[in-house]
Order: sequence, then C-alpha cells, then structure tokens
Amino acid sequence: MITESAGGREAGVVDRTADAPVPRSRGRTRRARTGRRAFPYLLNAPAVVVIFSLIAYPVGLSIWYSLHKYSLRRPGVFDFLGLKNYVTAVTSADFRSALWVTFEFSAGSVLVALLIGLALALILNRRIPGRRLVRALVLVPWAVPPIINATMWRLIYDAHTGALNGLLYQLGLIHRYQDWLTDPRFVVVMVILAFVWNRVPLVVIVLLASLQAVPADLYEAARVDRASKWCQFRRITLPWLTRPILIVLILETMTSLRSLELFYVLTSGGPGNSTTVVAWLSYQTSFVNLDFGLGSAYSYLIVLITAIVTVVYLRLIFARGEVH
Amino acid sequence: MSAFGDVGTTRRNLLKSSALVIGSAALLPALQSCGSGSGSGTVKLAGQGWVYDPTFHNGLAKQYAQKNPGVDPEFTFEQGEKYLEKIIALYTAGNAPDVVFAHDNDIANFADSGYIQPINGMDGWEDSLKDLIAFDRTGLDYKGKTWGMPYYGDVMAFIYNKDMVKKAGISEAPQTWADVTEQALAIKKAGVLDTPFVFPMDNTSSRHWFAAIHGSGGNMFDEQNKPVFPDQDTTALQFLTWLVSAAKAGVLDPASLGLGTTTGMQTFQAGKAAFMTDAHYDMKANNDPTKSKVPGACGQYLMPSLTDSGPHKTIGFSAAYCVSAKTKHTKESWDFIRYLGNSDANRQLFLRDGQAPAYTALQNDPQVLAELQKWCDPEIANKQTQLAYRQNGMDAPWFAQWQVFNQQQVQQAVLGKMSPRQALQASADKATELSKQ
Amino acid sequence: MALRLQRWALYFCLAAATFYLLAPVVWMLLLSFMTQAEALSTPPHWIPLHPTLSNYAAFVHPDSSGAQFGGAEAAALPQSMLNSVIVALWVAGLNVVLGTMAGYSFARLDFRGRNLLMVSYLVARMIPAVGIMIPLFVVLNKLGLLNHLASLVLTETSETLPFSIWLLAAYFRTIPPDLEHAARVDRCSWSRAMLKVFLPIARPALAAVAVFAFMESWGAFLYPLLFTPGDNTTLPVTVAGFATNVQIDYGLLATAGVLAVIPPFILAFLFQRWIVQGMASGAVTG
Repeated sequence: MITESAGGREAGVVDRTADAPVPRSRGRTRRARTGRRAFPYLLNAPAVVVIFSLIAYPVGLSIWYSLHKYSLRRPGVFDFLGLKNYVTAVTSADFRSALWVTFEFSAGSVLVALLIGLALALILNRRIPGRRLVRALVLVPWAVPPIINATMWRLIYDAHTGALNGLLYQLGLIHRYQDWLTDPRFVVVMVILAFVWNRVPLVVIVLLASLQAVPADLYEAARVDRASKWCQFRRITLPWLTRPILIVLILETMTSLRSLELFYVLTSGGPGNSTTVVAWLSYQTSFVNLDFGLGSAYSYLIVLITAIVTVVYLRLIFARGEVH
Repeated sequence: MSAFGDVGTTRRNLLKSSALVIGSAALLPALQSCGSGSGSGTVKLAGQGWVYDPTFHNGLAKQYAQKNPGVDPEFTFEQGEKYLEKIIALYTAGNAPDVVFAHDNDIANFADSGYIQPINGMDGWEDSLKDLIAFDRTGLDYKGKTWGMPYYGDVMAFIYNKDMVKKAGISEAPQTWADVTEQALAIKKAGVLDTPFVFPMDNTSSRHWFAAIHGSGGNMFDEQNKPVFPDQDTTALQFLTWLVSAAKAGVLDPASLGLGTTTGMQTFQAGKAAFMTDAHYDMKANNDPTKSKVPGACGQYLMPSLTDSGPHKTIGFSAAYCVSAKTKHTKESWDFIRYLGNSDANRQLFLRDGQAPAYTALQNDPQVLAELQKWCDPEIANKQTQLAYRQNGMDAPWFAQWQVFNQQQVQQAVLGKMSPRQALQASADKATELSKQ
Repeated sequence: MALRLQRWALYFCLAAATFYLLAPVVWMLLLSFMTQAEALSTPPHWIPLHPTLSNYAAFVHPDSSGAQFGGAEAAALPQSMLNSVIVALWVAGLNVVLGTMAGYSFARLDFRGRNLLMVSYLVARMIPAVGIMIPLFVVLNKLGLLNHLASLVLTETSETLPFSIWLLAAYFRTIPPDLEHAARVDRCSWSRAMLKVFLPIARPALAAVAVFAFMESWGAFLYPLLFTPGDNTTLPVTVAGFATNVQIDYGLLATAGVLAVIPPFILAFLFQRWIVQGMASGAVTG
C-alpha cells in the first residue's frame, strides 16, 4: 500500500475504500492535502457551471415572481405578496382538481409502464426465437420525440378517421366510432397509453439490464430445491428487481409530473378539466391568463410534489438496502 | 457483463465515438454564423409573425425593400400555438421586434403590456383605414385608439355537405337551430350519417360558440364587458339548451367536445359532418380534392337563429400588423405595415390562401369574385360578411382566461354533468369574479 | 399440457406488447405513403390503395409539393435534421465528459457537501421548463447565445446531466478500485490509469449515458421552439410545423415523423448491448 501514495499524490486522489496514504514529508503532505480537498470540487466544477450558472438566475427570478403580484396585463404592478400566490394556488378548486388528475395520470402511467416493461423484460430475458430482433424493435418508441409521439397519437385516436377506431370497428369490438379523447371515462387512460408508449423502452432496458445481472447460481440452487417457476420469480427475481423498479418509479414519476406535450396536443386539458394536470395549470396561468406570479407558484408546487414523492421512494430504496 | 475483458477493441471504439463528437465540434461554429452586419445607412426592420404561408410575407418584405432601398425588413416566424410565448420572451428579454403580427384578441394584451403603440396621428393613418369592413375596423381598436393595419378579416360560417343534404331530400336552408335538428334527423334517418351536426367546442374554440350566439342576435357581454347572460340576454341559455337537446337527440357528434377549428375542418373533409360551423376560409380546403374526401360538396348557409326572424349574424375575426412600442424606427415601421396591410396585399393573400380581405372595395373586385366562385357562393359569403360583428368582451383583460372556463362549462352541460343554467351561471359568476380582480 | 399453455400465453403477451409498441410506428410509415385524402378514409386503408412517394418527394424538392403550409417546413427539414444531430452529439459528448468527472468524484472521493451537491443536481432536474423558460430566454439573450445552436447544447446538457452523473456514479462504484491500484503499481500516472484502465471498463455506462443524452436532446421541443427561430431550429420543431392550428397535413407529418425516428433508432440499435450493460449497474446499485 505504500505505492498507493505515489498515485494519490500525483492527482490528489484517495480512494475512500483504500487506506490513507503514508506521508513522506510534511510539505508534500500539505500540498497533497489541499490538492486532495480541492480535487472533487474541480471535478464537479464544469457540471455545476453548466447546470447552475444557466438556471440559477431563471430559478431565482421565477421564485421571485412567485412571491409577487405579477401579471403581464398590468405591467406597472409588481407588489410583494409573500406566500399569498402559494396560498391562492393551494386553496383553489382548480388546484385540488388538477392535483387529483396529476395523481391519476402519474400513478397510472408509472404503473402501466412498469407492468408492460416488466413483462417484456422477463420475456426478452428468456431464450426465445427472434429475441434479438424483438429487443431491437422495442427500442423504436424511444427514438420518437415526445411532440411527434403526441401528434401521432392524435391521429390514431381521431374520432372520425383514427386508426384505433378503424381497427376496433373492423374487429367487431365496437359498433360505432368512439371519441376517445372527449369521453371523461376514457380520456385519462388514453393519455396514459400514449405517454407510456414513449417511455416503455427505457423501463425495459433498465429492468432487462438488472435481470441479466442475476447470478445464475441463484436459479441453479432453486432448481436443485425443486422450487416452482412462480416461487423462483417471487423469491429470486422480484427481490433482485426491487431497486431497479424503484429507480424506474423515480425516473418515470419525475418525467410524468413535468410532461406537457401530450396535454398540449391531445386534450388542452379537456374535456371540462378532466385532463388538467398541475403542469398544464401552470402553463395556462402563465401563458393564457398571463399571470406569471401565480403561474410560477404552480411550477414550484410541482417541484415540491416531485421532491416529496422522490424522498418517499428514496426512503424505500434505502430501507430495502438495509435488508439486503 | 463479460464484455470487460478486451481493452483493445474498447479503446478503438471509444476513439471512434469521440471522433464523432470532435467532428461535430468543428461544424458548430460554422453553423452559428448568424446574419448580422448590414450596409451602412439602411434601416433594418425585424418583423415577428406566426407561421402561415411565410413565402407570402417574405415576398412582401422583398417587394417593399426593392421599392424603398433605405429599408431592409426581415421576418421571423413562430409556430402559431407558441406565438404568445415567443412575443413575451422577446419583450421580456429586451429583444423586441419592430413590427409584430397580432390576432384581434391579442391586441388588448399587447397594448396593456406596452408591447405595441397606437397608430393614431401617424402619417396618413386615417386614410389608410377608411375603406375597411366594419368588424375589421373595430377589430383594430382598443381603449379608443387604433393599433394596426389589417392582415385579414374573416367570418365564422355555417357550412353543410351538399351531397348529404340532397340524399336526405332536403332543399331548404335551415333558418333556425330547430330546423337544423329536424334536417339532421332526416339525414340520420336516411342512413347518410349517424351524427350529422358537428360543433367544435374544445377549450380553444370559443369562436364557434360566439358565432352561434350572434346568429340569434344575442350577446354575452355589454359594452362595458359586464356579463348579460344567462338572464338579461337569454340567447346563450336558449342556445345551450338547444345544443344539449341536439346531443340527446343524437344529432350532435359527441366528438365535437374535443374538436377545435382545424380538427373540425378535418372532420368535414373526412365526410363526417353534414352541418358544421367553420372559419369561412376553410371552405377552400374543404372543396379541394387534394385535401378533402368530399371536394366540391362544401356549401354555405347563413348562420341559423333561434327564431325565424333571424338575424343570422355571425362573428368576424381578424388579425393585424402592429408597430412595436419599443422600436427605434417608428416612422419606417409604420410605413412598412401600411404596405403589408394595404388592399393590394390583402387581395394577394386572399388569392393565395383564401383569407377574406378587410377592404369593402375588394368584396366586388372581379379577381376576388372569380376566385371565391371556385369554392363557395360569393353571394351568401358576402351577405354573411355584412352580418358579421366583433364580439363584445374581447377587450377585457380576463377574457382569455374566462373563455377557457366558459368552454369547459359548455362541455359539462353537453356531457349532462350540469344543467345549461348551472353551467352558464357558473360562467357568469366567473366573469364577475375575474373582473373584480 | 400446462407447460404448452404457458408457452402460448407467453407468446400472446409478447405479441400484444410488441403490437402496442410497433403498430403506431407502422401506421405512421403507411401514412407517409398516402395522400391527405386517402389518409382520411374510413375505415382506414391499412394498405395504401394509391401509394405515393409525393410526401418524400416534397422533402427532396420542397416546391414540388405545392403545399401552402408544409412547403416551408419541408424545405427546412434537412437543415433542422442536421441541427438536431449536431446538438444531440454535443449534448451526448458533454454528458460523457462532464458526467464522468462529476460521477467519479461521487463514486471514489469523500468530500464536504457531497450529498447536498447530489441533491441539488436532482432538484435541478425537477423544475418544469414552463416555469423558467422566459427568464432562461432572458439569460441566453444576455449571453448572446439566442438563435445559436449553442443555446440548445447548454440548456439540454443542463437538463440531462443530473441523471448522467447519477448513473455514472453508480456504475463507477461497481468497478473494483483494485484495477486502478494495479495500474498505479505499474507506475502508471493517475490520468493514464484513468484513460487506459478505468474508462475502458466503464465503456458500457459511458455509451448508455451518451445514448440517453442523445435521445433526450433529440426529443427536446420547448427550448428549441423558443430559443432558435424557424429556419435554424431542430427537427421536432419543424415536424410539429406540419400540424398547426391552421392545417394538419397527415402525409407530410407522417413522413417527417418517419425521418425523425431513423437516426436515433440507428444509434440505439448499434449501442443496444452497451446500453443494457451500462444501465445494469446503475440500476442494481442505485
């Protein structure tokens, strides 16, 4: 381990898992120590610059907006309101309804994405004919930009010319063309299906990746014990997948809470307000009502919701981690 | 995870991929070169518009530059849906253009936000505007001032499918909404179409709603933007009651709830509407064999009313070219928009794209009439245009917000979740509440 | 018997899921060979009766389409496709380089504010674009980056980098430190050890991050729409121009959609194995 200090000294790097380097002389050690202290920050500097220098001012400014009465229609007025915009937002009926729709949409899409993703990952992890081809084809939706995805589904769902109606009608599953996007019973499900379509490949990749990392001897042992397939799945596969599943949950929740394109292209928040999610409310408040104070407040409520959900998930991850 | 072994191929591949990245690095500066720097003495004018036939506006700018060598106007176009965002961003960043497009319902916003300046008192402004159709002229006004030159002005039309009507043995135009129900039922019975009436009413299509209210001579707001519905003026309530009954009778296409003007037009073009409200200029595409499944079948009736007595009015909507309040070249910008919005440019636009010109003289212009004849009946078109008005309430700073709310209430009523009265009362309360803020 | 039933159920699930994932794209491909009038047929023509290449021709000779609205977009498509590729490659490259640096620090080094920094990265990712896009426009204008592709490279890198750092840090933790030590025993300098031993081992994760960033950047819509004007913008903005509030041209839209999907799909296809490997450790170790 003595040679370790040579490498460590050069770049000021010390492995957290390695032993502390053995000092050779006091001067060198001090320089090395300063270098060592600065090094992680130097490594992070470019990322910090790119991420925060660009958004620090916008974030600061929009938080500042959210504390003021600031409507573009009244350009002279910029009164400090404290948290009043947030109170207005949280207590409004619009927000309560939007919160519920957001929950339906996010929970629904995360769940559906997970189920389809898991099923596909499990299947694609088996040795079936044509696996390579299917694996490649599963990636296709990932390559479709969200705005094109939204437009494509608009064509598919169209109440008069859409492919979905045409297909179901020809198969005899419906007797007349349905208006999928104006019926409050269907519309959220339809938006979820369009959203999930774009996101499934990523879920498959993550889950497939972890499935391939399951040590083969685990199954070997199970087979020796004559455990059933279902038992193997429950005892070995599922526990192994807990972490990746939670990670998928975090990623997809974050993305679904920010998502706007689908609502923009497919529903404009309607019919009624049955697809008005908080992100759409924020957009409407800022760019239709031109109330940037309240609109910004909605945006930071989204950040708050996302943060809460993420913390809950992370707790779950770490709780699981201790069990393992 | 056995791929760790072979370091040699790894490095080669890494090099290959990094070569790609570095290669693109060389390309970036080349593509960034932005067209700045101009000849000395020329005034550069930046125009900001939405995407609608950019070739036309670029052509106008070029023509103008040739006639006025000292001025060099150049347009940038933004997609229509995001136009407002772009304008807000440009002005917030202090990057304001000299000339901007504005829809009639943008004018109040832009004026209140200090984005555009009135043209009153500018060189020859009154002369430039004296021959405008009434609603086109009022569409340019806000708070007693005039804010731009006309881009186009068109009306909401009540259109029908000639073949379907003929198949059902109908020859008379429907005078009232009750007639529409009756004829639609006949079409339904004849097995031509299951839901013959299409009335776009998603959150963005309040123009259709207002056109229908105006058809019966009603209004939702008075001159002071105070709501007069549902009781003082009962037109809105009566029409919504009819609309709900049409839904119950199975003649209103339920998909209407999710249709906007564009998707509505497409419904007609797919042959899925016998009667519909639509922007008049869409009739051109509706009768175009490359765009429509029912070319040549799209005809126009006057907007139906609640009673036989009419008055079959409709709403007109318009767009304008405005001079930015932040421009350093007010005189040049004004001169440029005068050119953009003159009657000749209006005619050119109509001949290309079908948006009706804003000048009365052009209604009887032989070229215009010849073109109009290709895709509609000029007599009815002109008659409906003379019955077109600008809707009240549009000046109110809360109008954009309220109209989304109002559309939602209308949808709820059609879905049967609220009674028409409840829906409109909620909408009126919302207007009162918003006007107090 | 039960086993055979199980097998059939398996194939049925696979077929259903594959259908859901592929049918929309196939339909888009079919639409791209139809005229507007045929695309409006009911029931839909699953196989075009009058297949046409006119939509594709419109992109080769923009004027030939005679389309009133699509014409300008068709003419802009090659340029915007090139723009998209350039921006996405830059974003991918920056993610790999900056993400490796930061990710390494989280995987190997202990420093004050470590957790705070990671949390800040993740919170930055939660802010909805709607909330900050106008102030962001102001900043980019001040920096003189507006209308330059660089504005997109920067904003999209800042959007994607948090996830990349997270993924890379997780992956780096799975690389045994002994490997670097061994290299150093051989008197390799630290940077040489990094280049020769560490990074090659991390190859799958680097590829995963690059592809992930490429995809996100390729799909970005709101920022390019606002920051780069119509004739120098990226692919999604141009394609969205075929479906506006005045006109939807099904054929041109579908064709542009097909063209937009090809480059990222090729990328994903080529790097498929690496992406899966790269995600593996990230997902397993958290």
